[in-house]
Amino acid sequence: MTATPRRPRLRRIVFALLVAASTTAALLVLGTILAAEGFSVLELGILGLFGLLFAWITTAFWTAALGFALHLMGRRGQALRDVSDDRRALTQARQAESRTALVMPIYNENPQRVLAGLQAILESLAESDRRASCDLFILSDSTDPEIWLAEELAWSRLNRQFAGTFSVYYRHRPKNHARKSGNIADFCQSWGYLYDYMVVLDADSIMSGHCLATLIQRMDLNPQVGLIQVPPTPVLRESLFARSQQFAASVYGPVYATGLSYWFEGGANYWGHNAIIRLAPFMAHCGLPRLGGREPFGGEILSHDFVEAALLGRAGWEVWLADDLAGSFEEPPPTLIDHAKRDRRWCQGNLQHLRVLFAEGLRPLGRLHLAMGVMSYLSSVFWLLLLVLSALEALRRSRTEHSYFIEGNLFPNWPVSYAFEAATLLTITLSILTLPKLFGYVALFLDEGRLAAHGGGLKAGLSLLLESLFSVLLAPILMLFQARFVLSILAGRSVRWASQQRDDGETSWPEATAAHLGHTLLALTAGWLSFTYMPDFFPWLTPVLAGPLLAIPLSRLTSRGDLGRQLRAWGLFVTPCESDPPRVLRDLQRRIEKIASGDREGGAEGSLFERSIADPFANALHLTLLSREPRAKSERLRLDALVARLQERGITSLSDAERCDLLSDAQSMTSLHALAWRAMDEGPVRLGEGPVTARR
Amino acid sequence: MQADHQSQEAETGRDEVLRQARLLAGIDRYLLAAGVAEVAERHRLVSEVSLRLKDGGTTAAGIDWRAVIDACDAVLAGHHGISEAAEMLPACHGRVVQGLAPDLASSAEGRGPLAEPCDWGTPPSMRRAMPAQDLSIWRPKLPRLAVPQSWRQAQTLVVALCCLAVALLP
Repeated sequence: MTATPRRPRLRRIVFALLVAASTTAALLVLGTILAAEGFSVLELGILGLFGLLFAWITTAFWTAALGFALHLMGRRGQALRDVSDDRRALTQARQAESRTALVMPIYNENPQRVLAGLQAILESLAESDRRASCDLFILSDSTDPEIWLAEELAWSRLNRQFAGTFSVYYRHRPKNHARKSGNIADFCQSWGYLYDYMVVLDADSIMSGHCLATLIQRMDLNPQVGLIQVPPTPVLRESLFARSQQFAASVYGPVYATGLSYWFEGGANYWGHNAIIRLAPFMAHCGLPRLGGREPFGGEILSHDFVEAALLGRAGWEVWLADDLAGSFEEPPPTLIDHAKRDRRWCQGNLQHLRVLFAEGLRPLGRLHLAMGVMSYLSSVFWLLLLVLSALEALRRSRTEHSYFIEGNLFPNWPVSYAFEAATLLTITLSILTLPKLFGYVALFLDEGRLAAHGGGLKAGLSLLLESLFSVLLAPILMLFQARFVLSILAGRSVRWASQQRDDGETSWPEATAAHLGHTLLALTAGWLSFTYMPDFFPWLTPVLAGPLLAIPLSRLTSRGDLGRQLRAWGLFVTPCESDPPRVLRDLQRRIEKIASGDREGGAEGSLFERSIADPFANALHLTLLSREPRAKSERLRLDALVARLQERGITSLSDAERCDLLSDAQSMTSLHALAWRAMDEGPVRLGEGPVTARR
Repeated sequence: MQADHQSQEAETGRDEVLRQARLLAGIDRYLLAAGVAEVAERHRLVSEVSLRLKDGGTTAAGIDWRAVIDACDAVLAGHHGISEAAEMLPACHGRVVQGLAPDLASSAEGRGPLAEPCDWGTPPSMRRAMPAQDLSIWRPKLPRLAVPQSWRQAQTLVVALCCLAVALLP
């Protein structure tokens, strides 16, 4: 283990000073304006909230500014690449030995999409020199019996396709204890001993073979590194909302990622997927405890990634962000409502980190990441509070008349105008919010190929303006969503951890109305109140009210795929992954189109549950993947009763949970298979047309 | 009387033949469903299964489908040469290999990974604990104040704040 070198510490001090200085300066200006007639409690509240929020946006600003400067200097991902020749030679031998497991935890995801993604990844990896040292594990926690069985068939297809090139494994857990982190932990405990590294993939993750091979090589060369995160680029969505997000991530993302990487160095964060992890320290130091108390703050740790990075840091291992690596992708939520749903889960996970933030022994950077996660949701509440306090202050001022003559003072007390200070502060705030976007845009001009792949300077500029307009309109809506989430979590309401929407489903008018009616009514009420009672304040409020007021049509329109495609045809919101997609994405797109055109898995008659009972192959495939666990007598009796019920009343008499119980039991599945064939032998039952194994 | 007895015997014999034919047809149907498409090969396997059933004492009087399926599994496992791995694999593995046989035969390297237990499902599992980490809340400890390093950090912070104040307050 190497101690953290002095330079990174110094750069972090400089960074903290920059943020502190900017915030202090802004606070001084606002303080001067507010203190004209002495501070009231209300004004102190405004000052405090403004300080917090200004520090928050300034952090993002200086990160992007640093990233932009590094882009100008052509320095990205330098630290992990700069390895001495000696160390390179020393690790050369080790490279041949190190083994890597690609692990994909899945939970009720579309098996065809999962299969398509894995095929694309493995085909890309097969072209690299690392193919011999990699295995793939599909770690299923699915609770839907049809999805479980479809996963098995998809796995058998994958296994056949890559026989002789990769070992592809499949494991299903009947109960998803501790959700994703429990799934990964189960893999580590069972098979972690076989591998040096694991690459964690989400169900929608795509990583190119080159990216994976480079990650493995960097881990080999840097034995002090516990984890390398590659920033995933959002891709493949076609709705207007998703395409604007993809464009933003593609243009502003690299600058921001470079800044983060430079600032954090070996103290970066883990985002839960598209990362390579050194298994030995992960297993030794990242076992997650169950937090005391009830959900939403107690129980299992939901957003495990930040905590795992902090634990690795606590144990002295470095965590890096590989900002220079391309070939790491994910799919963004297709609509505003899906984005909000994902936010609801993340919000609970991040707020739960308040319980971990002050844990013993964590490094300051680890605590900082946890605090930033918390702040990313609390900032919405602070923003809302700031608006409310500002409105109250405006109301107070509109009701108070200026007194020109103060008792005991011979000279009149002329009102002092702070218009210049207010305009300066507003300009600075707006600059801090918009400059990072401009940094990203200007950085495009450093690389002609990248600029052309974004549609050229003019179209990229137009896209930037359009994206900024969307941001202005959508930010207050997201703020209202997040504020509600935070309040509901603080009120003790927990959330179900469901799988993410991963296809381009559009939002219907009724859905949009149900989700945003409250926002619209709130905007109307706030607008009417401010217009009636604080007419001077009303114009300042309109940019914030416009988004919520238009939330219903905005949500509906931005979810539309045809609008997204139309803008692409006009060359707007174009990203390199659309204009010149890498091979791994082209491959995936081809497969997804094939799925969409009706190439359904199996295509057999009836449900897969029926097939797993009657079809000799599907039944055997399922049986060979089951773990033989002894059952308690009472459980055996219950399962036998389920078998009897199925015989008497048919498959529809069983719930999904009961089907899963039967599927989890080898003895029941063996009995049901024999019973099905006896029934076919005795009665005129036919399993569809021709042999049941005709398509698998 | 004798004629009755003879006709009874003939009927029993006919029933026996019918039952036997039904059993063979059932096995044939099962093997076809299991993916044995080639007729000659299936006929050979059917006779192997029926022999195995006879050896096991199963008569055709009433088809015990569990025994038939077990026999089919055993025959298919032998057919694909995976009997040696039977200890580690479920008995029905032969059925899986049969189902995948056409693809395996056409695979580039002609490797039969599915016949190898280590390449099937998951590798051998070896439970190793992942100890739950302590995340108890940090509380300030008085003895830490005696550590000079704590003072140095505090000094650095004070100096930084002073510099900031000097730079900004005027």
